[in-house]
Amino acid sequence: MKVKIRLYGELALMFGREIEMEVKENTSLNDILDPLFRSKGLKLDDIIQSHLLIVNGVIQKRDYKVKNQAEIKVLPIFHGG
Amino acid sequence: MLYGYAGKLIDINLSTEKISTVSLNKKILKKWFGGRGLGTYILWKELGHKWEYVDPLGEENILLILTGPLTGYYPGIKTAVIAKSPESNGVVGSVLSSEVSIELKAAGYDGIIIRGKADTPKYILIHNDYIELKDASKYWGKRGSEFLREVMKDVYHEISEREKGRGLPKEPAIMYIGPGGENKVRFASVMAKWVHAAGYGGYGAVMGAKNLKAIVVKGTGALPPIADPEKFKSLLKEIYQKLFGAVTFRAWGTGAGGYSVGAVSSSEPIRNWQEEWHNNHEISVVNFESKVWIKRFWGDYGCPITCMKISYVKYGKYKGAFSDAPDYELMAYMGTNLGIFEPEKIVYLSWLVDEYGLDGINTGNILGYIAELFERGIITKDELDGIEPRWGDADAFAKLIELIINRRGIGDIFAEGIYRASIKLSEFKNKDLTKYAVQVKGIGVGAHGIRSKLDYTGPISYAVAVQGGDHTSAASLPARSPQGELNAIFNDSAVICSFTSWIGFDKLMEFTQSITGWKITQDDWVNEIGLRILHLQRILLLLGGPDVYWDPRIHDDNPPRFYEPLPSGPQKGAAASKEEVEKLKKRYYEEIGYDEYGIPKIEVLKNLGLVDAIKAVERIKSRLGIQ
Repeated sequence: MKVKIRLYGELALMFGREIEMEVKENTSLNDILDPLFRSKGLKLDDIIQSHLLIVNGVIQKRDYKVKNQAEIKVLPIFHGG
Repeated sequence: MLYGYAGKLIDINLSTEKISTVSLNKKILKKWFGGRGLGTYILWKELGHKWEYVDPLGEENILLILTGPLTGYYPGIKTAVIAKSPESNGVVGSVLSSEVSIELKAAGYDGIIIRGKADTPKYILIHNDYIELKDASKYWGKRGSEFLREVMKDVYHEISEREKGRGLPKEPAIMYIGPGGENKVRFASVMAKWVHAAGYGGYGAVMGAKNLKAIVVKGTGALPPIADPEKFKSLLKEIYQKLFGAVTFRAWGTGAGGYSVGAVSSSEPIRNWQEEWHNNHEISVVNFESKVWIKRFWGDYGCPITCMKISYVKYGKYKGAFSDAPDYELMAYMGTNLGIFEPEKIVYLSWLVDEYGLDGINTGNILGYIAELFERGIITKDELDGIEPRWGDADAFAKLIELIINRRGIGDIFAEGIYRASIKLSEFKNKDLTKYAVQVKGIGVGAHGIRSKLDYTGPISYAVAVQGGDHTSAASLPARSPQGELNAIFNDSAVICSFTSWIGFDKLMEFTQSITGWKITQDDWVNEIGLRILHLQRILLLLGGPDVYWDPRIHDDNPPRFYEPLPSGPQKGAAASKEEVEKLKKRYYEEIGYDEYGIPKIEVLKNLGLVDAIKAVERIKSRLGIQ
């Protein structure tokens, strides 16, 4: 199935603003995002200290299993100050 | 039993000096919550039938100071200020960090309805059941810090006298206006504690138009009882722990954005948004820390985040100026948007807008606009009372601020705010000068650009938002989700701080239940309660008037500047695309429940229980010539 990942700020500069990805059904946010970030030496563990994981507009935990066509945002917690 | 609410509002008519209280009904509170939601409902009920004819700066406008069900229980403190906005002519839910809300609840009230206009300057003093309109003539014209010092001395003595035998009371909470509000500058703010402001909406001007200098509140009772104290205690502990984890934000506050929003995200307003990228380290937050910070952590009531920092200039030309950090928005609008990057100058200008009681965002927005017109030779030094606003010249901008608050010469036009001023200047100069105004629906756009697509704001964040350029209530997609506007509506209606509310919507709902006893789901909020508030706000915005009206076909759009390519930095060439904006607007309208013209659909209003708003939709359609 397909998911879309939207990144902001420095993460967007490193990985691109929007990434479309083909993933297996029932994949968790952790299994999608951690390998992506590790490809450039980052860890999801560190990133979630300062970012929210949002799927289709709703904040979710890293073990959340995404569905087909999910829009995943990795948004800095403190945005819009 | 009503939990979390006091169950009544104070109702003050400044014209007749009649003071009474009105009871709040549980059914209404469950539907409209508090703050922005309840305020929108009250304004609709009282003024909806004649909205187009109500002058926001006239006697008939109603000013509401409101709390919400979570106020005082949830970490951090906010107070909501709502009225017909002299900026957008709709309703803007504006909040500021002030303990007025908790003092009100401790005095036994959920808020204040303020009607009419006082003959002479007055302030409202509330001390539990004692409510009085007091003479404020001697305070009129005073700047923020001077006023606070004097009024605190006067009222503290009076409150202490009444509290005799019960120990020394803590000082009361005070909300006030400065000379900006007194002179009805449309972007004047309602202030608290020197540096806190309810800026968006322009409600300082509404207070000024009512001859109301301040609201002073002291409550000595307990907060209203809550539904599930045990659950509340355990949730509070859990939430505090989570919020304490925000160590980086606690250390630097929003001020970290002063450098990074420009350098990394290319979305910071620079020289009236002619650019959005810079790589100037002078504005780095560490530079503020080493040069001007005198207090590292300031939190208002119950706040574990303490993102505020206090700055004070101890040397040089601007010695004596003080401000909160400033936060990111003022770093941008008292800084980069005016071509200023030096901490001392930014603190100085931030201090001035706070002292005069102006919204720093909309002030910096119009100052940037004036400087661009000057740079282009469209406005001359002679027209500006001898002032030459060149980028980076803090002294010239300070003089312009004084010109505006005193409404001197051309300052009288600028005091009407960015939208109205740009139209009037276009008439005078016989050329389109609205294209340089970076505003949406009368409200200067917050300091987060959309062109680079690296910031949280998207192509339609401001264009379709019910509070226009307000960056704290930006629209997002999917429209019916607890993000974007519907999230802002929750925070502003529960009346809590958006910087402490990021714990997940389900957790917020659980917390709400522990206070009110109401089981509300996320679905209830995004498809019913929050959506109802949004639709009613949209209707009042589109009713507008009497001097300004909006047509979604024209005004649901970005400022022209956002369609110009960024001229510099790594994102050079990036711009908003009309085609994309139109596509996303269509999606937003469909998801939120508007028709093709951006007007709430009749069947959606019926489902939301807003049947009495259908006639207002007919009024909007008739004005726009839509069948």
